[in-house]
Amino acid sequence: MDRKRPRPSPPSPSPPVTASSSSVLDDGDLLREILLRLEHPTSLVRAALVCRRWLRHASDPAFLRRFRGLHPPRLLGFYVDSASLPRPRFVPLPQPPELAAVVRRGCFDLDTRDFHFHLGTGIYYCRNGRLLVCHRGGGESTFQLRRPLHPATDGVVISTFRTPPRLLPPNKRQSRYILLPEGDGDGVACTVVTLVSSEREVFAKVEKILQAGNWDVARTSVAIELPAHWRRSLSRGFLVNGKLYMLGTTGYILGLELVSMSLFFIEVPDAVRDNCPERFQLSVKLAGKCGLYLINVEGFKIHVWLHGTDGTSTGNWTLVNTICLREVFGHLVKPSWESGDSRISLPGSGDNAEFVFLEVDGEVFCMHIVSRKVEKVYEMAMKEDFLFEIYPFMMVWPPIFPTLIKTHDQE
Amino acid sequence: MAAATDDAGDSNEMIRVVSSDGEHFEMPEAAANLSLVLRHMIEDDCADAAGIPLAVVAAKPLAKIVDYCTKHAAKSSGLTIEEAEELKRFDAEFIEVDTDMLYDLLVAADFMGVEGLSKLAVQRTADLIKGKTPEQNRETFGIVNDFTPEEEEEICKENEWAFQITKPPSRLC
Repeated sequence: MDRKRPRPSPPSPSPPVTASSSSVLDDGDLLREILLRLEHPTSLVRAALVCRRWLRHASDPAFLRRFRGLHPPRLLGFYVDSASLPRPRFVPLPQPPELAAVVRRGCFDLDTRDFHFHLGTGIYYCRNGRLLVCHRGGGESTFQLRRPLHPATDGVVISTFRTPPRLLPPNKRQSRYILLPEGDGDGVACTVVTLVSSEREVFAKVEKILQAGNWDVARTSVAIELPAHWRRSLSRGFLVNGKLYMLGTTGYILGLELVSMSLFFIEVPDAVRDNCPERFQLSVKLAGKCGLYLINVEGFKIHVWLHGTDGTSTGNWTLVNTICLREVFGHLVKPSWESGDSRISLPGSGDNAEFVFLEVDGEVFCMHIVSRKVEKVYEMAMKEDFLFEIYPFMMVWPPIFPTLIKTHDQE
Repeated sequence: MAAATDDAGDSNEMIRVVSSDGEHFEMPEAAANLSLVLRHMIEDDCADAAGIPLAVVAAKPLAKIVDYCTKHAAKSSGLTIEEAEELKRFDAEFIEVDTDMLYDLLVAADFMGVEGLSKLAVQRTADLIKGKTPEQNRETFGIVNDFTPEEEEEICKENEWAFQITKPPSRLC
């Protein structure tokens, strides 16, 4: 390995290098403990770039798991989508200086200048620093991949296609989900899942859009019978461990296992069956064993349910947390809430049921489920505005460390 | 009024230790017990008048460690809020040392098994690394860059968000 710079000679103005300094750095355990205390992924990446040894420690999967456990990725802000906004808007949240700089440098605005005849912009997916945005207008839909924290690769257009007039028979309905691959995706830019339902049954169509821009052959699932009283609109979907979960409006979660292309239903807990959809949030459990959380608001209480086993149709719901909003909101509670005129809805939530957004009378709050800390994070400009959804934007995790080919030094 | 602090816990015996360069130090047994290594030596009856030899700890860091342990042992349990605050202030001042001393403390605390001090020194070292560019860190720690320019570029490209230093580069004391 050729050295780019020679070791500085002792009289140089840089701080003196002592024997003890090198012994500190030679001790892998001690170095890992030090790197573990860096707090922000930004500092960790810069430390990894010091030399190969530091990179090897910083990129070790067990180390990264510990780092994440000690310093969970922070919520940098959120996109809010409401009826009065021309397109979803990013709202940053206060950060420590290190991450405030990251947010300041990011390009969060969902710019539409390059899209002619622009009518509307929607977010289809927002996770780990990546957003899939759809711009509509002029009979065309354009899918664009936004990476606000990666300016060099931000804004790639994945696919543009003509939006045909819907020629569905009157008794059919479609819901569409678009998923980004979790890893590098093997040439797949995104996966389009379309649920087609009639009065009595539903089937799924899965198409992949390749990075080259063309669409792969569609795969179709066998149709399954809809449960009784099924109302046919589905809200936001979540992909975890190869399964897509979609929250239905009445008492059921529709699941799709992508590899086997099989559909299944999960019944929601009996106690919440009759709630309306804006009072629910689904959240996926990523830490430990996989699972599914359901967060719902009932009166002035938030309930958090966990679906056991592996998130298939078998398994049961357990009530894991109940939070009394009057207690946690404290002085933020307004008299109008008490009178019963206000409705509380849940427009968004984070993974692992870490936090949930609540909307009351045009004001949006973010509540951390474990610490029960509540902050007001947004206020809608117009009282009669309608809030569609909130998309949390988290700090990117983990950093991506390339595998280096040659390593000479041994631990 | 709070009662006067019982400095040495239930034993007032002083423990002697000897640094690698032959200097002798004394501390109360309760203070020595904060070091896992010393505690085991005491339990095994190895603490005698000649002192416990610490082969890899020089006099300078050992003096600091004796200070640290004596302070923390005197205030070990049932702290009031004020006492806890005072101990925090003591720690903050205690670890304001130059890098040479910091490395000595890191190694010595690790060797002697003084958990609180280890954590303090590790956190202080991490604080020195935070907010610095890779080049500044190499300079601080006397490390040679062994990446090829292509490798450096690849790491930067994948993690663009990490390279946004806001603070003016601060030199290490």
